[in-house]
Amino acid sequence: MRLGMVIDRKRCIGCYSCQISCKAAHALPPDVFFGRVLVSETGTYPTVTKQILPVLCNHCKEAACVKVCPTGATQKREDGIVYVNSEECVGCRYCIVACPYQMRTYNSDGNKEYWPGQGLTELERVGREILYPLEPNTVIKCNFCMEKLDEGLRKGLKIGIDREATPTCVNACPVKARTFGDLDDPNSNVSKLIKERKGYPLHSELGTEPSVYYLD
Amino acid sequence: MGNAKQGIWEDVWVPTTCARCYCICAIEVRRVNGVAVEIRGVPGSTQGSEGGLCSKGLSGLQVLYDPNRLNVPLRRTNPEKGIGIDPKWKEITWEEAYAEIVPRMKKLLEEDPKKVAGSPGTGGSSPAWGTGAPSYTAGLGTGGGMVWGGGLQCGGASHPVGGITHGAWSIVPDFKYCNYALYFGATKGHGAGHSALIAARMAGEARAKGMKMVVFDPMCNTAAGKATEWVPIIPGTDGAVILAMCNIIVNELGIIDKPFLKLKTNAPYLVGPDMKYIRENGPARGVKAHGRGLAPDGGLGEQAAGTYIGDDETNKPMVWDAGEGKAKVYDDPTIKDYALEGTYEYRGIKCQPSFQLLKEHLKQYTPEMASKVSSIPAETIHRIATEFATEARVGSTINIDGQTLPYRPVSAIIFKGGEGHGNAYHTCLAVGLLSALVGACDVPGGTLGWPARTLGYTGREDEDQGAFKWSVFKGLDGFLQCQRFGPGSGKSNKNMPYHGPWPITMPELKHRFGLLDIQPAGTFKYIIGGSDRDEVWEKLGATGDYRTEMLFLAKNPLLSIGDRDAIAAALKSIPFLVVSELFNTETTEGFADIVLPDTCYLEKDSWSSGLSQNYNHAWGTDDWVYHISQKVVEPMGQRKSGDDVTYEIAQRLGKEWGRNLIKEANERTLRSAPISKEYWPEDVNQKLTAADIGDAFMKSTFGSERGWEWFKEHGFVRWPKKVDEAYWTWFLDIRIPVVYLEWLAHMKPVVEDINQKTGLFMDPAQYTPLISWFPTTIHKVTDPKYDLFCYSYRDSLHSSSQTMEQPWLDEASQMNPWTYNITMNAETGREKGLEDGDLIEVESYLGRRETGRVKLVQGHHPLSVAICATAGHWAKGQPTAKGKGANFNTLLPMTFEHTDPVDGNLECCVRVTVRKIED
Repeated sequence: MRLGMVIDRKRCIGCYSCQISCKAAHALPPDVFFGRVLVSETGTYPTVTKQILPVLCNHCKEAACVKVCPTGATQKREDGIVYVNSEECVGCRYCIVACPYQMRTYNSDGNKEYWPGQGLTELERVGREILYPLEPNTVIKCNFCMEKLDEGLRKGLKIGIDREATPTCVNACPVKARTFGDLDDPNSNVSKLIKERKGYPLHSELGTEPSVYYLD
Repeated sequence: MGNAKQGIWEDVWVPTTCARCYCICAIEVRRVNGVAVEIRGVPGSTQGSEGGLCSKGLSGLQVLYDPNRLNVPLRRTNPEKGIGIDPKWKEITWEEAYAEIVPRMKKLLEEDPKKVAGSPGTGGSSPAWGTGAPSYTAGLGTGGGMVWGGGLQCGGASHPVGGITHGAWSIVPDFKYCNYALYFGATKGHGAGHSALIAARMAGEARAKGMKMVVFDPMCNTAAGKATEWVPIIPGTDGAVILAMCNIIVNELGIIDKPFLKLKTNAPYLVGPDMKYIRENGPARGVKAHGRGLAPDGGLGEQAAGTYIGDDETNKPMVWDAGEGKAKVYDDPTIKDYALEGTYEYRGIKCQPSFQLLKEHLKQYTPEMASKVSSIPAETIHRIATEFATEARVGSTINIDGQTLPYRPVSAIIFKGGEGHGNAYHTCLAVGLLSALVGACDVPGGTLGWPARTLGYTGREDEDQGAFKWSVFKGLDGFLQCQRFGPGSGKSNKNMPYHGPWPITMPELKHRFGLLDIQPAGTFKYIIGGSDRDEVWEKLGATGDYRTEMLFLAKNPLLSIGDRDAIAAALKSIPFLVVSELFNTETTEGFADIVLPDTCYLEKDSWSSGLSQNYNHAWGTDDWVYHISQKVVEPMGQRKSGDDVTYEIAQRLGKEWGRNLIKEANERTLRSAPISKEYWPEDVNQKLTAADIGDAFMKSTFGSERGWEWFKEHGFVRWPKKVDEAYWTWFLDIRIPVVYLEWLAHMKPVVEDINQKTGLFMDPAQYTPLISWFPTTIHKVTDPKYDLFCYSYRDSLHSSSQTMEQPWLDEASQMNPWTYNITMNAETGREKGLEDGDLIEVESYLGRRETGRVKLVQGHHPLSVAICATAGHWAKGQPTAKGKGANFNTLLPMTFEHTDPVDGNLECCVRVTVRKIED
């Protein structure tokens, strides 16, 4: 099994729901993003195209971050998820430099407030202390909501089908631009989409073999 | 890192509805240990995206827990009011607040009820005076209504025209079956605007299946950014382009849906030399109505009193039966063939079918003419018109659920970008005409209104009941009429509050609140905050009549209407301003005397939020749903909902007068629901909660087992929509008067008379029955210095005036090129010596100025400058929002001249110049 995501750019409207739902689900501090939406334009007036590119960790098959990690904190699971075992992470940040997609963040200040100088709100406190505590001075990143997937699997739910076993950003997308499933299964939702719509990963020339594909 | 579960003693999802904007999407909120921690959509509901949620909705948590929320009532201690002046707030108790409000209110009501006005919130995160407020203020005769809000920039033309043409608040493509959609300054389906997520979900599917979308817009951002083709256009010229397309379709291609025009519009109605319908027994006499009249807030009411244009059953409009070669009344069952063209005679009067007049009239709108004013190449206009007409597949049918219906997979829609101009009435009707010519109105694939017809809830075994039963119906002269919603409306229910689109009353030289009488075609009027309001009131002889001395607000007009200086002057002229708010705002800090801490949508119950809106039901064949809103957490601090406050004030006022205002309010609300007597609460002398009224409504409508407690657990009920509800056009004997605007011919001399008597100028040329394009104030500026057209736009991250305060939305706003920048065409910018990031000053032709950072982009018409709506906050009470972006409304003129002469719709664009200034 190799879990992966397909993002349909034809559907995507650049609403930032993926980015914000992820921040809410992981109680992320200000300026930390596991997923982002990049917006730009190409062409020259009047032939212009607005470019919207949602990005997140690519969970690469040949992950540069895994290779450079000196402690083995960054690991790849059997289902293809690349994650950081924060107990092993020493915060050396080699992985941040190595990741060609700039999808890793050093968690330097977990106490940073959303309203500077006004203290942590109840929302921030419950999120950071109880729901999703982040280890200070370690590297953090998207892990395809693996805790949620594991919990869902334990309940007998289907990954990418049942929302309790599907990454939050996939569920939150109001235009159903995101699909999540097993890239190794040729009959899976993601494999079919990639085949039918000629899905492509970002910077395939780097040889990292990402698990996030895009459709135009 | 990990999902620690220790210490969790509560972890539940609460079903309710979102209120970050007016879309009321279905949501579930996760509450852990008493704290709301996550919000998500509801997969089983059509009211939203069926699982997803927009960024504004997701950020609702940061409204609930913002440390800047108001928690106690505040009293201004600095008597001086104004922008930038410290109000020197003093915290007071609720008792002290009521003691300030109630005696003053009583005194003013006794002097003249019009001295007290109230204006509820329009959006979601902005609070709203609850249902209690209109219920008893209507009874007291106070005024206010929409005239104080961002509603002024709402669809002053598109809503009444949506009513005339579709029986609905506004129009949308039937995404499920549509193949080709034309957008004129609309964003529907791109995360903002009406039914934002219903539309987003449907539009996403439509794009995936290959629907082509052609967007006419001066900037390539939300809808245009996702379009198959973006067509840059000079603001306010959409009407010319649309009419050129109509001309091509009618006079060149000849692709028209004749059965539709003959049977479903006024195309065959004969018109005489006086531009009015030929009727069976002579000129129309008008129909007098003695309804209870519009409520003073300008909207709620069963039927406005006045003289309706048209005539009764004894004097019907005539058509020409080409089959028999004689004139007949329009609904004569013996008619063999309705003539659309030709010249005829009836009782010695020469006459022509409306369509014949339109056909000739359209010839002036050549693609070249439209190109000259809009800057769109003539060949582009010609090509798009041809694609539209061809793809309409006139004559084709489709079978849905066993019913064979016309299949017209093309749609043309408009909203604020195309409509926000001084020629809005005609432009919106031109869009309606475009769809009507090819028969694409409320049929599969075409242009739809929000659901205008429901035959009732079908989930119970006994007879269908009440509140979910409404329909368009055949009204005066055979034309579409909508039921209206509001206190006293009895069995009729919703779908067109505020605007009574049809039939329409004659203008009169009276002066109800907000110029409603002189321009009955529209409801939202600029006048209260107009910089020329004293002059206009004097001309109308109304000076002193509407000197509001006490105003209740639940909104932030200083930021969200227009011309900041003019609004500030208007607010300053009100001796006592009470504002119920979540935060201190530009309005409260500058001008409020008392600020009351309101609850947000996650802290209050509502039985009606999913009912009383007219654009939160999914259209097409999507199922019906009814949702409740319920509190997820108890109100924090001393926050109280607008409902609770209005009831409290009513109780105290009533005691002073010996009146039971609570009972009056309760009974009005109960009657309007409507609620069957079986479930009418026993004691109406006490304040009824949302749960009390909701329980009665729900059981009346959905059956005895489905009361408030059932809905608290399940959140909503869903049932299938029938084909004849979704696509009612060919199931009902109703026509739409979109081919010929005969009522304007009746209004014209009256308007000329008002002009003469008052010295006001409502351009009589726009009172023509033939849909036309008119240049507006923005096209008439002659000073070459003001070479650019500046406007605001709706960013998908923002709505109303409180979304810039949430840090998650702020982060996203900083990550895109648009939201916090003033954007313009790169080449134009370079010609003016500008570079990305420069601080620039935008100056309107009337001398108003605003500054901001410029971002030069390719996706901009070279003559246009854009500023994100609702940006540019300066209030201290919202520190995240403060100082971000520029405020367009500062530049926007608020004058009589700057409105549509027919419906009063505000011109929302302004001519400007830009220049670099030093940091």
